[in-house]
Amino acid sequence: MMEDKQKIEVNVKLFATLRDLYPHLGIGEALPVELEAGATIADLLRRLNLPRKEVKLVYVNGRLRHDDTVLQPRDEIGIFPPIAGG
Amino acid sequence: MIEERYQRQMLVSAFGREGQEKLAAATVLVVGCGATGSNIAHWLVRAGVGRVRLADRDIVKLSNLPRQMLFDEEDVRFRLPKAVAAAHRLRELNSDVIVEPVVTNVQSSNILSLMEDVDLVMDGTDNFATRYLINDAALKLSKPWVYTGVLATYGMTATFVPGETACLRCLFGPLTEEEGPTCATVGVLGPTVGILAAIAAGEAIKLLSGFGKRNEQLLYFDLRDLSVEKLPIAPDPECPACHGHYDYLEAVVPALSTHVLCSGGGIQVKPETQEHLDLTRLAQQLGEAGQIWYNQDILQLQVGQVEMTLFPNGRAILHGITDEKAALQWYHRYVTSRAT
Repeated sequence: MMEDKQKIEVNVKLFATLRDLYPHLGIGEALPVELEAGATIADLLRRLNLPRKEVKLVYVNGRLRHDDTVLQPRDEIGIFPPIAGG
Repeated sequence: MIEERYQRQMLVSAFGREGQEKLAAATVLVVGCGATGSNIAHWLVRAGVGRVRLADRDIVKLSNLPRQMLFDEEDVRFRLPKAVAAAHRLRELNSDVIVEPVVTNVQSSNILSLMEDVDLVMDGTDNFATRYLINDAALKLSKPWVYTGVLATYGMTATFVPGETACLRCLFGPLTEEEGPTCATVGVLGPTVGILAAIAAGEAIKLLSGFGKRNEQLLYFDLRDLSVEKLPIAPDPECPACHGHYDYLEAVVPALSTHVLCSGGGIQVKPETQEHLDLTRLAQQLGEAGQIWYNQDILQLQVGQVEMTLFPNGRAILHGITDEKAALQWYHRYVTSRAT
């Protein structure tokens, strides 16, 4: 794919209950997401339409990051809900 | 006898006799005795931890049996508190271990006394409100603790050591009102609990005996594809709890609060201050209000679809009612207005 200068693509893995929101994704499969250059984690969560209360931890390339983190092309992102049960 | 009982685990070279002796000298608090808590306690008692204190607020329900390995149908029939039923079973499994059941809601007013004389705290709870309380108390008393959360087919565990690692609040930020899904909404498969609880119990054995390397990451496991993720965690330099601000330990609790329980799907109603109810007298006052069953430790009242289990300290668990406000009204009608 030709990469538009104004766009970036990141790869997102959803875990636990969040996986059920994208049932077509295979097990362990990452979801490619195209975003405007300069987009943050908050923008990504809005784009994916994830319920905010179900998103607790966002890892970018293996590091825990906050909502205002600006994403870079080809970032590997893992999103986890809180796991409360026991 | 000790030689014979623990011979196989003492054979493990990195553990050895020294490890066994350290376990025997240790005291562990298990907060919550549901799926994860009872599985963790099971391993610790079999392994020969010297003293195991079990704190739990709930009674054994039929829906617990697929995954809560210490309980059986008789415990359900006798409506035994989980801590009591678990202690009974654990003493049968290993009479060397001192098992201390405490039937209570772990809260800010009692957590420090439950925790002050232990070497390690194991999370067997089903909610983050109690975990944030454990986190504050563990930091205040400088006790290591192991978080374990399980739902459906997945779970997480992390080991927190005050002064050395991040804490729960560093990782998850402040407690939010919405806890997200619970095992009452998305269910749970027993083996998932077994795996996560075994990992947590393994952490406990390592921490207490000093062998091996503790879990320094957030470990995530999913039974669906046996995937494991190990995610780095780092202290948050701005974490209030790590700087001595114990917001959850010091929070003002409302006079009467409600909470939806994960395991049995009931609603707990709890007065902030401990009552000393005379259950025999209350049973007489309730008279013909409904079907009543009681002894000195527990009173059960069934009116229509609603079944209440009441403890002498005023705490009640209501089943057959789904609205927390309705549960409060029900409690006022049958407990507060009569128990004077």
